[in-house]
Amino acid sequence: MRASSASRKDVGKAVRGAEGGLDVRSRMAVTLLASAVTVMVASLEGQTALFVASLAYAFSVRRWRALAVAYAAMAVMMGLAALFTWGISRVTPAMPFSPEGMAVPFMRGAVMLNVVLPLALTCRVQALLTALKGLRLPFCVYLPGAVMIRFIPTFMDDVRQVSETLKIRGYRLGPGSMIRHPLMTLRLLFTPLLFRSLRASEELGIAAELKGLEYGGRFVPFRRSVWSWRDTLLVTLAVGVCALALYCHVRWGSGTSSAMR
Amino acid sequence: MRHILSSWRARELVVIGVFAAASKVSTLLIALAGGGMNPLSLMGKNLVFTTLLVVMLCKVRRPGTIFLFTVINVIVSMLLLGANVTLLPPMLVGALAAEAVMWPGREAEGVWNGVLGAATFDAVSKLLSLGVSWMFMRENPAMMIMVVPFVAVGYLGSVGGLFSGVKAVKELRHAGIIRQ
Repeated sequence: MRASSASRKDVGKAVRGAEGGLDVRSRMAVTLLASAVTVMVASLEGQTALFVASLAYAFSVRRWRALAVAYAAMAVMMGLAALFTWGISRVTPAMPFSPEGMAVPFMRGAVMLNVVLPLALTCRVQALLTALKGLRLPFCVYLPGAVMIRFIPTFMDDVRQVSETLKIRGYRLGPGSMIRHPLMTLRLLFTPLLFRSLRASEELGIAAELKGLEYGGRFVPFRRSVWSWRDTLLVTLAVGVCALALYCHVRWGSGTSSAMR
Repeated sequence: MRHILSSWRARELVVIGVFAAASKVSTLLIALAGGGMNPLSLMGKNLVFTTLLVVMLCKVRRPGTIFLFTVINVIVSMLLLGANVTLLPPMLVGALAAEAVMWPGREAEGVWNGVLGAATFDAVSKLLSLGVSWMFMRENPAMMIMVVPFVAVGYLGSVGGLFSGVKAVKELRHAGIIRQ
């Protein structure tokens, strides 16, 4: 008995270690807060405050390689967007191109990347499901939400399997061929995925009914989520940073040009 | 309220969850594979989303399906993907409009009630998204010149998705996966 309780404690510690010692709900709260405030703050000063704090939050996960890859991909997409905006400004004089004017939208994207990456890199599917249960949502919202989160890795595996099958049959599916033959790609890739999704939904639905999942049913979570002082500290810091960003926006952002808003 | 919440069967809820995941992942993959928002990937993304929506509405024939699907999408997008909160009200209003339009034909068989719901959802949510974009860029309305073609191209994809949805439902019925 003692051995089993000790091993449960060890597993709990190991899971919390893998998740950066923070509860998923606190990371969700930070993501939600950031997504709301980054839209409200339209000045460079406020966005800089948000960006610096969110970058420190992303660094705290210490997944340098994943962070570098994500930033490289974002830099490429931002470069393309800047190039297109510059091209449009050459054709339409009413829309002048200014790097300052693009800074705020780009920083919004970077802030969201900084808060979503720690959530994606540290949280396991089981922890997400437990957190979703902890939100006390109605059954008709909780079950599809849980299925959605649980099904995403399965669907990604299905995509991989279908594309490998197509490779074996001689079809080379890359970005180039997708752009050259979009309908063919849709037919080859999308139709099998649709069939597999429907089959998976049938199987999961039957399994759910056989296990007695229904409205008013009592579910016992596999592992209870624990809200610690670290989570409170993280959420308090996030609220503080958002207040600071809003203050910077109101105090110094009034001189910002309308193009930057 | 309790009756509405408890009337859903687990099997129907699972289908909604699976389709929410499939639509989210496939649209993200198309956007990434297309190297960002070029017109083709924008059309493809909307086409796949609408096709999945039509198939789901034919698989789960119950009032409230599209609204529940949107609510699930909104919750997961907000909590896990950091979605822009301003884009969510247009989706919810679009879902409510689609439910209203589908209500008279709720007992009807066939694919057309689902197609009508998906078409209403796409049209209303895209129109309201344009309104939100205008609100953001009202100081510089010339910027809307860029937004309108993007939304229009996306909507063309959605219209294509209605046709491919009907075709997919026919094939799935033929295969016995969707039953009347």
